Amino acid sequence: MFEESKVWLFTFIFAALIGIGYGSFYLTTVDEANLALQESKSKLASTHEALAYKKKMWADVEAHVVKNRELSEQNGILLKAKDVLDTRYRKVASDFNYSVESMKSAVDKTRGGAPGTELGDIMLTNGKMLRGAKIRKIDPSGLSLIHADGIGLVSIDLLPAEIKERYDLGPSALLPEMELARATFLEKAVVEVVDDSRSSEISAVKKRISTLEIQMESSTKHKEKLEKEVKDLEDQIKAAEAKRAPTQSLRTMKDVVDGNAGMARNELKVQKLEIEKMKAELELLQRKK
Amino acid sequence: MVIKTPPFIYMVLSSVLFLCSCDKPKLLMAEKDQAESEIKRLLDEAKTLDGKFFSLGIDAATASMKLQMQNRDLAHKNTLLEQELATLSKKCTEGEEMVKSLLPRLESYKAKLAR
Repeated sequence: MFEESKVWLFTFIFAALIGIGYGSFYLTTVDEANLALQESKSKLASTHEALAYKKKMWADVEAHVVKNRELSEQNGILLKAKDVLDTRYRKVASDFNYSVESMKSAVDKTRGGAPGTELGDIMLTNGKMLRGAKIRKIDPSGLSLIHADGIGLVSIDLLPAEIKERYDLGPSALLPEMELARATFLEKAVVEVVDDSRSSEISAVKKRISTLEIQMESSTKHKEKLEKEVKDLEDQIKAAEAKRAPTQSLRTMKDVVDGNAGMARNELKVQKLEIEKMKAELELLQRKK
Repeated sequence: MVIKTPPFIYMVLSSVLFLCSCDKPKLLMAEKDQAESEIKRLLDEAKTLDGKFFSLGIDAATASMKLQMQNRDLAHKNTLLEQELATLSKKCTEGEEMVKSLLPRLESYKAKLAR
């Protein structure tokens, strides 16, 4: 058998081999664990980074959504305010139109009844006296008068203030002033917004429709007023006929007012057609959008 | 050479035992597991965020930009509307004043005409 010393040597070698084996196994396991840990740590870092980015994006989105909500609310308020202002604008435009048409009608009536009106003796602004003056006709440049010395056209600036005021003539005439004020108002009220998008086209058509609606509202009022006047005049003619009183001037006035009413009806028809056209155009634009 | 000293053997054996009992890999693996569970938690959080984006019906990558553009458009629209309102308000006031000044003159003319 082996000697004791040899046994010990063998045991030592055996133990050393086992030790080396275990040592090697241990180191490999540690290396593998380390590698796996490094991988996990790297993955964790990238996940952290990705999540932080996503969180930032979400924070941005949340901020934008809040802003969007605020802007939408503001837009709603502004649109409501615009509705109120549009109504106010339509009322002012309607008042304007009614005033102008009413003045026009009054002036037409005065001027229409002017031929044949006796003015008596009138003193012109140049000091000349016209005796027994009678209006022949009213011209834009002046009054054609029949007087004791013959027939003549008297320019507006020579007429006495009272006559100019009655027939609304001269630079201080009210009707042209009112028409100018109305034109200025209607022209300026339609706001020009420079924008080349389709929304601006839609907005322009909407504005045109709105303007046409105002005009229609006013034209309808004017037409109704004239038709009422025609009816009143017809009643007056009937009453005069019953009393066997002269009806010539009433008939003339009725014809003039009836003509004006016809024109108002035609104007209304044209506006109605135009508004229908605009509405079709608006629908087309909205569908394209 | 004859080894007669048993302490040497004890030293070798204790080294082997020491190596065997060392739990460094276990610690490392535990740390790794911890990292993995943290990753899982983070991924869950990311998934929740994706769900939020999805509920808004927007793509996460372009959402911010799209909303920003939408806000810019809306702000521009509001600015234009504000300008329009200011102009319209001014015109209405002017118009009302004009009508107010013209109406008495019209009434006066009509009154004279009636006479």
